[in-house]
Amino acid sequence: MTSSPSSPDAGTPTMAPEVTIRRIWLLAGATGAGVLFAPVHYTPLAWVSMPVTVVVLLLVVGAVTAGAAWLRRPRVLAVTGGLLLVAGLLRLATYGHGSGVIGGASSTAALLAALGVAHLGVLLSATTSAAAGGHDRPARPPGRQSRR
Amino acid sequence: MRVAEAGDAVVPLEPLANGRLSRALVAVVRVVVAMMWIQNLNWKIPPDFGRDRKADLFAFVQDAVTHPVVPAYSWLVEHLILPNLPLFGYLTLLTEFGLGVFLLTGLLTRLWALVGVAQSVAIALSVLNTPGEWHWAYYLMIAAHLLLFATAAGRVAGLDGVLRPGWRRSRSRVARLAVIAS
Repeated sequence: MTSSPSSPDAGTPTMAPEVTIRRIWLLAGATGAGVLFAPVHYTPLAWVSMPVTVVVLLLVVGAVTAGAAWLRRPRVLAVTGGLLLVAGLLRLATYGHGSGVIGGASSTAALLAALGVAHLGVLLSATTSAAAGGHDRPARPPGRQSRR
Repeated sequence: MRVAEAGDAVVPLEPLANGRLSRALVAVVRVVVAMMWIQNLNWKIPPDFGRDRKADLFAFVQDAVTHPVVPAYSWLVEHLILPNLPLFGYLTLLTEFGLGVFLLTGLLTRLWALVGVAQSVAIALSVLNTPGEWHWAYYLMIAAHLLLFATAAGRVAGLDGVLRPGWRRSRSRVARLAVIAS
């Protein structure tokens, strides 16, 4: 299902090169792994507050992202990233006003927003790289030959 | 007079370590610094930021007055920041929220590393003389952000590394600014 750079749909993010798919798998893993903050609590501060609603949200979004990688559909990241970003910003905006719409603390808001930004960033990279001919692997930096 | 003619050898600078382990460790440091900001969002609680309980952000800001570090900064806190704590509290919350989000994702990392330096300096100026504070913690915070800036840490396992090729190809002003900020 991959596209060649010369294919008519090379400008869309639907058909993704391998490097984009790898990034989406990584995103799915990172999103799901966010729930690992749930058992990490030490006083006086929880590292990242992780109530059940957020755990469910991260697991569902992580699963959907994994599905996007499996089906090679980067465009799904617009939905998952948008959902996480909106949830994070909602939590931030309603923090200090009762329980708010989304549970957790402002650390939860930051984590959700960061994951959302990451999803949208990878989607953007897939879009721009497809527009440029599908070469979305960053250029090797100068001096890369030197290993130390 | 040219250096070469004077008999002095021109020694090329040694490149910074650029191996896989070094790059991975730069990414780890970036994420750890981001998590520091994210965790410490928890006690900046709007809308009063601890004023009623004389705790949390209010207490730390108050330290700048009760245990002054720089008199001018102390005056500023007493006459401008404390009377308007909700405004500055929200500014602090948003700044540190941004630090957490952008450093964690490695997006516009050099810009946010500088923001981190500024925020660390502001915190240091508030609490350096507070009893029980370990002043090196704040110097290390500043140093960590300077290193994130120096290494452009978002280019490793971050969105800067993913998006910069596209930004460099683009002719838009925003893309050019993003290249500078990353």
